[in-house]
Amino acid sequence: MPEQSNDYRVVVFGAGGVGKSSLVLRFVKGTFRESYIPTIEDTYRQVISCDKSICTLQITDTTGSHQFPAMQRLSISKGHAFILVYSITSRQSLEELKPIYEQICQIKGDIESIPIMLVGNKNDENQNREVESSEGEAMAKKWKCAFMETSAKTNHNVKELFQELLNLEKRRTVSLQIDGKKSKQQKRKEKLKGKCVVM
Amino acid sequence: APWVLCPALERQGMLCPGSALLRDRVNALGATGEWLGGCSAWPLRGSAPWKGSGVPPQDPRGTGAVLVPGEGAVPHAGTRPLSLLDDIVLTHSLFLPTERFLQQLHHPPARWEEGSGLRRKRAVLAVLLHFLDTYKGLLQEEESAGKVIKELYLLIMKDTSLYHELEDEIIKLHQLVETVELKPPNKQVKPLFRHFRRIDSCLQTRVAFRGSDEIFCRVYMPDHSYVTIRSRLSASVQDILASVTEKLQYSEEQSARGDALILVTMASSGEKAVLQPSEECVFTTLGINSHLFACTRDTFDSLVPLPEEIQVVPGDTEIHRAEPEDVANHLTAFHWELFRCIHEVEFVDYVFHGERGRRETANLELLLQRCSEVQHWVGTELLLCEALGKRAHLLKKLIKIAAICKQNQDMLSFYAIVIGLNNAAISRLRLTWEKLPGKFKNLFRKFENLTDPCRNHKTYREVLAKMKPPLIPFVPLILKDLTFLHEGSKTLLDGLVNVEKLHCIAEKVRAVRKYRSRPLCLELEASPAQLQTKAYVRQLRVIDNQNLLFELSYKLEPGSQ
Ligand SMILES: Nc1nc2c(ncn2[C@@H]2O[C@H](COP(=O)(O)OP(=O)(O)OP(=O)(O)O)[C@@H](O)[C@H]2O)c(=O)[nH]1
Ligand SMILES: [Mg+2]
Repeated sequence: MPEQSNDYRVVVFGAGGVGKSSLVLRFVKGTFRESYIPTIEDTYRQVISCDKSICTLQITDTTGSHQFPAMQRLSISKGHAFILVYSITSRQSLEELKPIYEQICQIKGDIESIPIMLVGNKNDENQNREVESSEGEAMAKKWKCAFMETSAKTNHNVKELFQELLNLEKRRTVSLQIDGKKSKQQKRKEKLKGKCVVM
Repeated sequence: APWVLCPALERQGMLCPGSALLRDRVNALGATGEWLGGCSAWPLRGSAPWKGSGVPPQDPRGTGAVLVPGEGAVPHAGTRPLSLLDDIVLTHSLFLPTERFLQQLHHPPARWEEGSGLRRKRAVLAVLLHFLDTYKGLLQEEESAGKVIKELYLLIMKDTSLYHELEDEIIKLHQLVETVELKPPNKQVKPLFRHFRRIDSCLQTRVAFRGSDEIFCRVYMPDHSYVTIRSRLSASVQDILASVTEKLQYSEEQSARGDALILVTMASSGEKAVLQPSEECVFTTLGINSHLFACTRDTFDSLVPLPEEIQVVPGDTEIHRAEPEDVANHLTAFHWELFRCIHEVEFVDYVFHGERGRRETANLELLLQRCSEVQHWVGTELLLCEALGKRAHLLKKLIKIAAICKQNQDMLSFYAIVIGLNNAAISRLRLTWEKLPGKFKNLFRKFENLTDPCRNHKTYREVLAKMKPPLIPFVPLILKDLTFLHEGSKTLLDGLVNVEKLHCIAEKVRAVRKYRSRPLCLELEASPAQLQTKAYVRQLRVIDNQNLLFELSYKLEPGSQ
């Protein structure tokens, strides 16, 4: 029986259609689809290592519509780390992250100790870019969180996104590698501890 | 005017005797009160309950029983003929699908003599109006029946100018057809499942579920990942699996390789069952803490249940804070809502579950689910209470709650609590029961007598008979009675319809109608404390795994018994 308390819970937020599900499914299943099925709430589980033992990474993919505020509050209070996704092709989608970020601050309080990654997805669609990566970076600085651009479609930076997020967790050592060994990249990141924006 | 005169009724060229019989009975709907065919004596289990109409019997399965409105005026309210019409409208589905029942209104028999057009039309209208009035919104779920009604309606409309005498009836028909046709504007998706009940919606007044309603539901994977899908309440297992497959980007090769997904229900105890692809509306029939799993055939054996939702750490729940009156009143108010959501014909349809493509009985099922939830809630709360003194206090409180529910004429909550306290995992807690004040011991003994099933629940039935509406009956007993009626006698024999059986079943439904004939008003404040109690009562978290309940019970009082 999976141990509930041992779970490390990551919650993915962002406006409808920015590619939250695509990122999660690319990471969990390695697949991508062009068609769009709006999400209500899905949760995927993966075994990872945590403080040298095994634990479950629980990734909750939320809805982009604002229909269920109570569900959103519940996932925030249960979540350990957050991924805030916008699409680089939509300035509006970056705007829509603000209330979510504020709600996380409100519910979680000490925001700096909580791993949060701001993600600009769909960076394969450069021709339709509305948000420069420098703008994303600036926003991340303001929010005291990390930043990355990704593409679920081309599988750019997807695994890295999740690994970086886990690296930001300072209260325990969580890693995608089950053998407990740290990747080079991970060690490098640990040296950068304290720096907020990791590119 | 084909809606009356159309001389059909000839299935394979013959008239079915059952139809003739029924027609005769329904002929009596006429104001003349003329009963044909020795009507009043049709004992359920009498010596000669079946009577034909002189036409040689045919294949009994040719349930071409036909309803033909009699020649005559509109039935008088309160007369036996009206109750006969009601009997047949309520129970026709036992021998004739609704759609075909309605078609009979198009097709009176050929052998009727001509020249009584107006009276016949009036009779057709009477049946149609009563039907619409009884079914109401439920008809939105029945496309084919809806079509027949529309056709009939159009024919009647064509004739209105010819029959001014029917004006009143036709105005009423307009109104009823309108309510049936008007779908409620943009239906909201209704959260049905436990995991969504925690959200704000639990405080809203419950409205009836219909098969076409969209609901959210979680489907779990063997590793306890889950996807939330949006589905019609009446969706088939196949439909649900298709949504899951699509969501998970399950490739076609995987399905083709024989790795196709199956849908499984699993209870918290680990008990599991595979659902057949054609099964429909499975959501409301799941056990309290049961979940749907999608997996491949070869992972079926390795499926494990979700961890118990409730933390088995003693913490004070709302029950310890709230006043017994408030808990009882909120129970009654909620159960009244659920009871009100059940459509009359759900009771009839429930009787022959599985015998024929069944209609939604979701609201009835939800009430039954709730009834079992309350039973488990009582045990769960007591068993999560570690300190003996506190537990005995809670026991007293629960008995008090049962007493107030009874005062509220909410026999459903009352019964559920008493049954819950009679659960072996609770009744074995000798130390707890010993600490109960004598007054409460006696009170509970009285409650046990009241719920004693001996002599066919005689005591309870007597108490119920003395109550005036509004009241909430112990619904499972109504279903037991209906099932008994249904299994105790045949509906059709030699093609004849057992009208008396229909009458007995309809009487049960009419009893429900009577219980609900007056609104139940409880004075409930909207203070924050009250809202908290309300939310607690409406989303009980319970352990429904009997083994676990026993385990907790033995831990609390090892030596008891
Ligand atoms: N070009 C491109 N398209 C993408 C990318 N990620 C997602 N999409 C497309 O964007 C659409 C929406 O993707 P989803 O992942 O379903 O979006 P979502 O954020 O989960 O949306 P909601 O569940 O409604 O909140 C789909 O048609 C995807 O194919 C990407 O990196 N690049
Ligand atoms: Mg999505």
